[in-house]
Amino acid sequence: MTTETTHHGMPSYWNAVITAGLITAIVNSIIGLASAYLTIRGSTGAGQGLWISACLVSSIAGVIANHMYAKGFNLTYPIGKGALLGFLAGLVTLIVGTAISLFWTEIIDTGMNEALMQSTIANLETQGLTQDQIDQALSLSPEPGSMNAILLQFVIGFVSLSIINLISGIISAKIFAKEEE
Amino acid sequence: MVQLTAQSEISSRANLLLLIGSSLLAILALGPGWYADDFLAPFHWHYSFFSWVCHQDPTRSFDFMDAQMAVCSRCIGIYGAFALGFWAKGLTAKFEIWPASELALRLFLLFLGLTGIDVLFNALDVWTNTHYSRLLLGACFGLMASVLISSRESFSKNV
Repeated sequence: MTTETTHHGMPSYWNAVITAGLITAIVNSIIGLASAYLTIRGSTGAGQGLWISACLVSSIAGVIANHMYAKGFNLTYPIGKGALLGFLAGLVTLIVGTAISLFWTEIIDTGMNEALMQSTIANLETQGLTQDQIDQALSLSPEPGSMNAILLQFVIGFVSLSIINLISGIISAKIFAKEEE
Repeated sequence: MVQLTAQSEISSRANLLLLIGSSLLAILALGPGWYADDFLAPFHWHYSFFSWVCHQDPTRSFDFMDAQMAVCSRCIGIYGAFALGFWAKGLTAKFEIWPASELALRLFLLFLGLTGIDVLFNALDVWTNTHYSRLLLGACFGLMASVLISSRESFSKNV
């Protein structure tokens, strides 16, 4: 690993942040897509069951980034810096994850969003909801694949992934970048 | 003396920030039951917010005011106890009752391991966990996470 040094005299953390974001986004996307296809095939329970394994995957970016940075350069730093690394790794995860999702739904399988929507409607019908209630429920979320939906998902993902990776970053800094006593 | 005062102030501010942030997360995790119709609840932004970090399986989640919570029973335990830890730290800041970081780390890793074993053994049908067993393990894990963060030596002068 080449060591790029910042003006503060500490090695750059971007290698660790980007690698952590890439790994997390790829694993998350694979599990997310598998879960979506299971839901489309009518196995809602199996889709959600698969997502259980991904429950904590989203928060792993902060852990990987801090582990790589602290152990890779044998550094110690305060938890505030761990939080920053977690936040940035979460941001990279979101950007890469959104790019993979757009690539998949716009190029590989353009009918996926529509199929997911139909599956959601079928699921609501089996729950005994009236057409009026279904329309009311669907009006709460933008049409899948639309610019509004993409933006909304990005903004919500930004807040959600930032916070969760900020927390995992703080915990990881406490574990991996702790000063020797 | 000046430096010590400054450190103490920053430390309290960091704890306060974590307390407010974690409490907000825990409240959001309860879901929209207190203001939304039950059938509309799963379409509210609470669910979108947590969809990145929780499977939100209705069969593995508690209801709050007749609507499914925004996270599963394990996650509500994690978020709730995580916030509770910072409240407890804030209320007992003057007393030396909190474990040192070494012990806090061991307890955190213990409950992380137990949670992993519970997930694995349930998936392998070795045992069947319940809402309350998941809640309890999640709460222990969440509490230990906040205890670890706020344990002694955590608020160094550079925070």
